[in-house]
Amino acid sequence: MHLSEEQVLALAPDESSKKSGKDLSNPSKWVSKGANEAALWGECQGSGSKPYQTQVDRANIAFKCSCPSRKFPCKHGIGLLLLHARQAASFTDTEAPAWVSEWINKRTEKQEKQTEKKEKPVDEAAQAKRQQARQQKVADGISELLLWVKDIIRNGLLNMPDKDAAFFENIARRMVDAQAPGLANMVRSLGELNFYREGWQSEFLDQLLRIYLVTTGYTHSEQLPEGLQQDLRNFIGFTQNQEALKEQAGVLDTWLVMGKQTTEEDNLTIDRSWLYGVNSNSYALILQFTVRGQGAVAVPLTPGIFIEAELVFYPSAIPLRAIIKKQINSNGVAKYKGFANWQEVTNAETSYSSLVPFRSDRPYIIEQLRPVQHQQQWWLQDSSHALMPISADFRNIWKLLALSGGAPLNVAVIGKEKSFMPIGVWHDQLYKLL
Amino acid sequence: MQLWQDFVNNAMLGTDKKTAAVDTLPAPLKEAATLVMQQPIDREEQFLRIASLVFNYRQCGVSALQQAVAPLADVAEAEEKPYCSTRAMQVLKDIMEEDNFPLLSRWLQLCAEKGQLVQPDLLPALLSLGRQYKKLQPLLTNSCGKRGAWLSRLNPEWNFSIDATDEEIWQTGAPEQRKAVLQSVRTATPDLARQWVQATWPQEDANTKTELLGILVDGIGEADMPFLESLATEKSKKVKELAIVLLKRIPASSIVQQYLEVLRNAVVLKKEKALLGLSSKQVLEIQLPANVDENIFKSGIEKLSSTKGVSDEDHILYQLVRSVPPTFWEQQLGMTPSEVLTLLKKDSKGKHLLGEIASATVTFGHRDWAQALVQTVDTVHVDLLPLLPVRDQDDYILKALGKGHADEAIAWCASRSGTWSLELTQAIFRYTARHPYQYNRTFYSQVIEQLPLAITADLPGLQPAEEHFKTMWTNISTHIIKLAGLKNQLHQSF
Repeated sequence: MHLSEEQVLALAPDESSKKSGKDLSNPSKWVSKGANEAALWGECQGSGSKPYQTQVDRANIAFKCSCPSRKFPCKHGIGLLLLHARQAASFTDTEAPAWVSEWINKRTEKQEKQTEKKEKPVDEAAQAKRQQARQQKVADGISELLLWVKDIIRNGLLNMPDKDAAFFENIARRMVDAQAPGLANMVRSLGELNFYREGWQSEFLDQLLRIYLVTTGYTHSEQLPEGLQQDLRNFIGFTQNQEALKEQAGVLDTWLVMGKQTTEEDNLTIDRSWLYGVNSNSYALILQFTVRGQGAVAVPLTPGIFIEAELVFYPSAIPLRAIIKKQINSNGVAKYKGFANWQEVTNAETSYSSLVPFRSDRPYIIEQLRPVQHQQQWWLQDSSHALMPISADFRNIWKLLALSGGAPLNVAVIGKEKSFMPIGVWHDQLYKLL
Repeated sequence: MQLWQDFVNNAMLGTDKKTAAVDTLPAPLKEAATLVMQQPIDREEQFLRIASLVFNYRQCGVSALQQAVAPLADVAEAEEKPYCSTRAMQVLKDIMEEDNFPLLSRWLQLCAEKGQLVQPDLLPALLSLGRQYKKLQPLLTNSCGKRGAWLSRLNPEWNFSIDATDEEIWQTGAPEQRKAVLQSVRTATPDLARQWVQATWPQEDANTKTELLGILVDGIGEADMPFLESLATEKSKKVKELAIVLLKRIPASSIVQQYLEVLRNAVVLKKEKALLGLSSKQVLEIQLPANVDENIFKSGIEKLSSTKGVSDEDHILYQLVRSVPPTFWEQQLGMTPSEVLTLLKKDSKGKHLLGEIASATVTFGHRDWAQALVQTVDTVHVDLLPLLPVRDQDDYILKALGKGHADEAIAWCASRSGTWSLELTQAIFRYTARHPYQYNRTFYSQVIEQLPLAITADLPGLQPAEEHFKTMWTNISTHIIKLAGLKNQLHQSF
């Protein structure tokens, strides 16, 4: 796989790594360097007497370096990839030295072993007991949360902006204790609402009703279809056994990494990568969590590239979240088919909301959208002149305009209802991030 | 959606004060809501259930706004020039991150020379930089192509990229744009520039007038005299004074002529007999006449000296010499510039005039005198540098570096375009390395365009001996190497 400079820089864990990586992309810093189909390697002269041995697995992007840095990938990995992006021809050595081939072989072996790994016998009785105990805890938490919600409804939202952070935080902590971290997050986001923004009342009620729907839905889940039950469990915060998930058959496809959003919560970095499968015409959300300063995401997904991979979707009435079961390689550019107009998008939205009313944002690729201005706001106009507002939080309107020049473009957006955030566009047949 | 808004309003007040209104619901919702109302649950639960119905009713029923909206200011025209390479774009991004003006301006220059365009992704960031760096604006107009012009029609802050003639900019542009265009017109056609200024003169305020006059300094000549003389009646003192300063730069102006007249009577070359009358030698007599024309004191010549050791008479003499073209000496003494200077150098009074002649040479821009001064006079006059041919400049700068005029000489080098020679760069770095607080990273960033790439190999050797400067020089060297790398990539990517 050949990554462009932009894609390499997107892999860097922070700004300073980007900067140091760029400095290290100078050929004079490398004592030796080489590349073949499987790997990219080089020896970089650092401050020590022995040069650092840096290596990159090219089939499934992975890094290893003998430097002591805790960052991942380290600046040497970034520098080596950058140098390769700029001057691939200067990597004349194709014979991998022992330290490289050993690592690559180990990685392949490990992957094979992982697939062979047998499940340990499970003590079913103990497991059932644990589950029962948790369900009881969650049920207790839910009844407490419901009382809290009803209190708000009884007294009115009017005085919500005056509440201090503890008002929301206390009940959120209670939900954590009740082993319902999903609910805890939903409650926290209520408190994090911008009460100075016009229309906060509607946003607040939306979120409150979502909490209500999830809690009541979960309490009566035995009457609901299987898919929706799973969605409710996910929203409450029950985790899915990823290993078990990986056992299932997945969707093998060429996926475009449409975009990545990184957020930080406490000490946790959450990468949300939005994918689109060109053959299955389906969308996926890959969530990857890393504890700050400790290692990297299992599968680095570079926005803007196509990857060949098998994805397993989490069980849901409207599947979106998925995990990567196997990544085969990344290459080239593939054809895709988006929604033809907003009508098609809203139809899809209606069916999603009818199945899961409390659902979150979803990604869409829509063809031939034109940015237009109407009532002092930016909109995306489709080929049949229907308009949808661009999210007020969108910061790159001028970049979108520059790429469009007033002409229609194929646009990737994330959102729901009447708020869509453009994340990328196709310009000259190339996918460009916004 | 009014229905939803009603529920939000209800929720604002709370179910204690207001209950959910079921009657206004549309038919399908009403049926479900009635069922909810019949159940034995509290008012809050009733509200939450019905509101949840309305919430999903709302989100399922979203449709796009069907309204004919005119597309934006037409579609941008197709570009005629090709886009630059991806590599060039990456370099541009790196340069913009580094916030390096000289490299950015060089990048845009090369892009324009090759007839290429910036790819659209970076146009907004680049056009915004154009607001910050006004000098980039003409280059940006060139490299941003039709897409850039289209964008600037949408964003008035970027309107410098709209094609307009010089005269239109002069008449309607922002002050900075007007000044820039006047400057370039003045260089090409000095008379036209003056006519422009004259035409709009009554409408300008005093500050603008001063600034515009400042631009006319470049290429000042006899043709400007009538206009400048007419400014004697200006209200603003600042403008009036500046007009006099400008007039003093025109040899034919009455002021300079007055000074010349006084000097003509003050400088006499006499033949004196020497060696008991066997040979004769030329002796210079410099003496102000007893009755000096009082008019010269009205145009800024000071009567009294404030310098210790300089008599009032000498003070007046120095000022006059400084204010007349050095060609006066050629005419008065019938000698070449070098002969005049050699003669003055030997004369006890004349040698004090050499510095004043150097000043006059700079004011009136006489290149032959500059060269003669550099060759004859030992004292370094850094101001003469712009008047010297480039090959002589380097030698003179090296001399200036050694004679305590390093800062002025370096400032001139930094303002001069063209790559420095390796020898000159080494000499400058030897000095700047020992003054790292004055010559910090910013200095090297500003002169990166002038640095020869080969200097990177010499940096370790230029490390100052002082221990406390060593680390600073190492850091600065890293910075220079990084910038040199960018510069190298920049030149390779076009």
